Amino acid sequence: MIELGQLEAHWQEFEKRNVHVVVVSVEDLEAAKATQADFPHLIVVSDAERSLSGAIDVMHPHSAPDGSDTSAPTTFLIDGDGTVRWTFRPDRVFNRLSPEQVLAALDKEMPAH
Amino acid sequence: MSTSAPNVSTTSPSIDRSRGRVIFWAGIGACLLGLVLVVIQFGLKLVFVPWYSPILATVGAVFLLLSAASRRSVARVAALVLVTAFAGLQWYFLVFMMKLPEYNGPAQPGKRLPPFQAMFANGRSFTEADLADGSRRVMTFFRGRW
Repeated sequence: MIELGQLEAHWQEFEKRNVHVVVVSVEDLEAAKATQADFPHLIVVSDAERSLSGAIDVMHPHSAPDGSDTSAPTTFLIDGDGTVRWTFRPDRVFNRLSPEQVLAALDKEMPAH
Repeated sequence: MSTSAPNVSTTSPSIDRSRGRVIFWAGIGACLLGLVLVVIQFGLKLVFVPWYSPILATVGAVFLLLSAASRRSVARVAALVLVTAFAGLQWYFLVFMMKLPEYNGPAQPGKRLPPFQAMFANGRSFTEADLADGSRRVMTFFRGRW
């Protein structure tokens, strides 16, 4: 969850670009509420039914500490029409995009018109 | 009458015991340094692969091998085995266990997301239709609160 704190810390940079930051996990609604309270400038989504994670194939089997499935850390840039403009998945679980890298990708791949 | 000199070692026991001791502790230290740096890294919330840790453990194992070669003892051989196993475990963990598959799912650039139904933290429904409301989004999947 470290990346959520980093994104939250840069919320003004995203707001300046008029971009919403949506963070999704397969946890239930209660966990999503707790996450939302921790990171008020992010838009937290609960995908407990795995409808979204399954539809776009981001599940990572047996990767949670208890051996259950969870989503692989993956980032998408989605434009105002709902079209995907850019995807990123790190090569290792430990790696994450930094907020600066996300902002750079936004400016390059999905600049404001 | 000739007498042959007895075959007596000129190395004192204390010198013999200390042979390779510095390199032994250097090996232990290298291994422990990797662990300490990992703790510091995650304490600072820096998210990147700590390749330095298996590298330092491997360096430590080499030092311990040299130490055991200079003077074999149970402690040195045991440390060599443990640190080598620890280094191997770390390499396996980082190279194989932590590897993520490349993303080849349907949400590729130029395509829209397939139909889905999830939920915002406030309980409101979140579907693919919400993504076409004119707002640009960064959508990030995270592993969970744990």
